[in-house]
Amino acid sequence: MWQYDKKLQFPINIKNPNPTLANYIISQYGGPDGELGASMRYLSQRFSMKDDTVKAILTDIGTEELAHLEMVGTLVHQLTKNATTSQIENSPLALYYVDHAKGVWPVSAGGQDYTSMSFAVKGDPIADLVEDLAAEQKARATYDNILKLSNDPDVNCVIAYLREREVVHFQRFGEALDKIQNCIPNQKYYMGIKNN
Amino acid sequence: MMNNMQSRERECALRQLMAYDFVQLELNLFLDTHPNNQRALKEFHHVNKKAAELREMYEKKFGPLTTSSVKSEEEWTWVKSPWPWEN
Repeated sequence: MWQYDKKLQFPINIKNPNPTLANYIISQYGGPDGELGASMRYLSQRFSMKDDTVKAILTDIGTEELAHLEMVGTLVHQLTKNATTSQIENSPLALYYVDHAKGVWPVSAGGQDYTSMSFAVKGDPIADLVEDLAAEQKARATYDNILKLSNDPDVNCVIAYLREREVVHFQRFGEALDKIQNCIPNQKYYMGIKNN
Repeated sequence: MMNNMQSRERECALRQLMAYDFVQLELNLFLDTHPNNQRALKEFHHVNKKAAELREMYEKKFGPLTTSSVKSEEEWTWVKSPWPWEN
């Protein structure tokens, strides 16, 4: 169950149209390490989790990722809204524009459609949490790449914020993994196998 | 339509609420993995209360942020305020 809050998690106010930058950033909407995959990964992994801490952290981070999906969509929207046809024609977004115009659709920067194969749900607590730790680092690295390619301060403050959230999520998932591996009395999980 | 001053005032009030809601979420995630941390729990309740006050003030002046906070008996105010992705 979710309730929509009519506000962004972090303010976004882009002044200069930039379809090239929109084409880079859209990877965090529907690319391999994007926010759509992130939210689906965490929200789907919850069902087979046994530990209440892990259920809570997957629910709350999965929900936050939906807010980040909205932020990335907002960046793409505001970067393209006032772009001229000639600006789009001379940018890597031209091919995307043929099918989607100024609509926001989940795809990677390289033009690959969103696929659920970009994330895993193994039904195994160790496999899933280690996947989540890697996912946060991959998303952080993608935001680093975007920061290297962008020189718009209105965009960069938002990307830096999203990057920082990946770091915080990595920390929380690490604590969750630590809890199920080490902190349950007389029980240890090694590679998904519970030993007494 | 809102004039420029109203729009700035709205933006300012919304940003204040966003800041408190963010701190609340950050404490929420921290408490998920540190459920016995009394300091964080106390801070969570403090921030929660402040965020609720700011939300009520904002909604009274600029319209509902969720459908359950629609107050008007005359019109459906949910569709009247700007959407978050619009600048």
